[in-house]
Amino acid sequence: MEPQAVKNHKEVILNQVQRIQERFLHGMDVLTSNMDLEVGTTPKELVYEEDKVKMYHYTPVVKERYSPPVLMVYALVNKQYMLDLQPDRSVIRNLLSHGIDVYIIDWGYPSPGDKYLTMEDYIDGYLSNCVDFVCKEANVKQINLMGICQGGTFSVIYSALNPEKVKNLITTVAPIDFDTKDGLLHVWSYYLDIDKMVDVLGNIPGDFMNIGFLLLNPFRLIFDKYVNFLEHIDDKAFVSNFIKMEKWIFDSPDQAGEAFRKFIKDMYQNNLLVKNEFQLGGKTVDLRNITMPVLNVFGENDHLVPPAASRPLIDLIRSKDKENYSFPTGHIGIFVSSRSQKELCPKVASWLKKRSTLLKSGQEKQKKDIKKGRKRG
Amino acid sequence: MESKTADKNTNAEAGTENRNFWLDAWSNAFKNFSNMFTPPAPKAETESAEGSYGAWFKPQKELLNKLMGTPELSDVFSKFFSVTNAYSDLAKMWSLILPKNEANVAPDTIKTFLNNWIENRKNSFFKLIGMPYSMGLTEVPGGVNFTEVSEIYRKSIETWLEAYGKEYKPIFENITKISQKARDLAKDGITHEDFVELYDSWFEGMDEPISKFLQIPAVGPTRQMLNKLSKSLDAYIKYCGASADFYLRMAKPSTEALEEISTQAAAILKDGEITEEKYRKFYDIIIKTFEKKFHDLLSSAGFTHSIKITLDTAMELRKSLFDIMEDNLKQTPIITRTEMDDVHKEIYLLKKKVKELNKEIVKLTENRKR
Repeated sequence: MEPQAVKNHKEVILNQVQRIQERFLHGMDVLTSNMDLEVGTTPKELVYEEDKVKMYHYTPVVKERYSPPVLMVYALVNKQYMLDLQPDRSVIRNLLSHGIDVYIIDWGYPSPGDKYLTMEDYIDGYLSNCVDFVCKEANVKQINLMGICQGGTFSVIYSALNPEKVKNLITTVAPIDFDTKDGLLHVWSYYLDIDKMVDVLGNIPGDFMNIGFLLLNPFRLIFDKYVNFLEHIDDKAFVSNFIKMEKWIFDSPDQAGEAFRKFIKDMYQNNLLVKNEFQLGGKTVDLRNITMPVLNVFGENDHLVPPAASRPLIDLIRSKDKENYSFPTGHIGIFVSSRSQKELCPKVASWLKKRSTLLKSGQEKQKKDIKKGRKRG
Repeated sequence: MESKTADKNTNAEAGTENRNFWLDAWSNAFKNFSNMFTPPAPKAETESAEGSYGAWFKPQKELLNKLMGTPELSDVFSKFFSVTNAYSDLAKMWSLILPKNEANVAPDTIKTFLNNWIENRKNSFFKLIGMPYSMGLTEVPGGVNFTEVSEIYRKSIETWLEAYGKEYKPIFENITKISQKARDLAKDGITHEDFVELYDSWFEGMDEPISKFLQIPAVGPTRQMLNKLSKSLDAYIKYCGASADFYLRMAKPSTEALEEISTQAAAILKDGEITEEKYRKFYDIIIKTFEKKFHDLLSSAGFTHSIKITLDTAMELRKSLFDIMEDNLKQTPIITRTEMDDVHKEIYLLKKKVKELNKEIVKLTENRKR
């Protein structure tokens, strides 16, 4: 005669096994079915190309359009399509629906030949050229900049060096003050022998960066995440979202050696930006030159760029119209969570609209004509 | 309808036959594979190695004959096996010579060995290549007389042995000395320093007999290569030490977490009843415990130090391996990484210059328009 407890165990285990089997059978149907795995599907047009860098202009989705356009500057780490991962969770689509005119930079995938690219090349070169192009294309003298993560740092540097070209600046989860022990990346990077790494490797492999990010929370990111995936393997929408996110996470371009060397040394190790001692192409970057309206967004639970690294920006600039906006989420959730779609994107859009001009239909037509003329030329 | 059923049956039978054939084949292959790892029974010195390894060769040959089917191919395989058998025969001879003589391998012994080796090649391998076979070639292209070649080969080796044969003695003596040293060091457990000491003794010992060869200009680069290899070995040992420390640190929180989890699991399952909710709770405990333990580790100064040392040593190792590869590539018509880097830099600077000039052209054009 089996004791009752053992019987219960058996039943629980058998039930679980049966449920798992059923789930996997459904899961196999899901995995082998036609699934929408496309990322970055919002219609866009390639408008500028230089070396491996490309700039896209998103097709407006509403008649109401605000000027100047916003240029989104993503980090060199990972790819910019995270802002347009899926139609129902797309920062880009959300902003477009509010009448914001959006351009975005795709930094490309550096190859061994790009190991000599410096931060000067990225900011004074590519970013600056993209800004100039948008100014010409939109027939404006200033544009709105929206920098994300490392792209936020780049945008801040650009704005400090070229304040006359930036009408409004939005920084999102952007590290500015690197002297913090809140984030493990800050702690580890401080001790990296970056010279040795760049001298030996040339470009820093994207996989190396990935391992670093996974190490920040290994058990959640290497184990729990996939257990959760298996638990929802029979849910087509979940699987589709999960695969898209995985695709993005592991789509890590290599980091151009020289640019990475300077970023780690001057930012993570010497924290020169907040001291107004950071040099770019022989010019000193003084954050006090930033006087345009600034919206600084950061995630309260961000473990990659902790609030302590983002928050201080507001105190370092001279803008009168400036705002810190903290959001109760992590580094990625700030862009893809359903809450951010409902709260953060409308907040950014309304902040921009207040500081932008609504284009009249005549002006719109005039811009189109300029664009056509340039294309013909 | 009937014919369809009949076809089906025939197909089914054929399928079963095929399956049985493959199952037999695989089962034999596995059996033979495992036989390979069974040491052959000790045989008399004079006995051919075929006796020892025949147990493996014979069924392999039969299996391959069966699989290949065509008699021509079977013939080639037979010859192939006879060659392989001859090689194993030689390997066995070599293995019998070495342990017996240790440091006292006389040039005559080596000479005998080489004679046997050439004889074997003549009798099997050369014969195989020279023989007509089913591929339509009646002789080896170019009509090389392999018997002549082997004679030339034998003569050159004899000359070489007479000249340098005596140099083997100190090498074997050194090997014996190093083995003794390794045994002495291993008594109290080998440390990194012991490895270095052992390696240095080996290098010094080998330097004596080998340096004569290495000083010949033609083999000079080999000596450089050995030095670089010795550095890379040092880098490798350091990397192994650092990564072992890193992995040990990574393993520690897992052990601690498992201990803690087992205590908590005992508390959850105290009443003996297991429910789905309890499983969920248990899983949450696992995740939270591991997460906490790893967070403690990853934010510790010890881990930061360890990750730094591991990365540094990994880079040192990689650099020394790159250096060796560069040296190898220098002797080939393949471009090295340093050369590519120079080209990349040149292109990068040129591109930059072109961009600057383009910008100036645009500015000048705009000014002229005004």
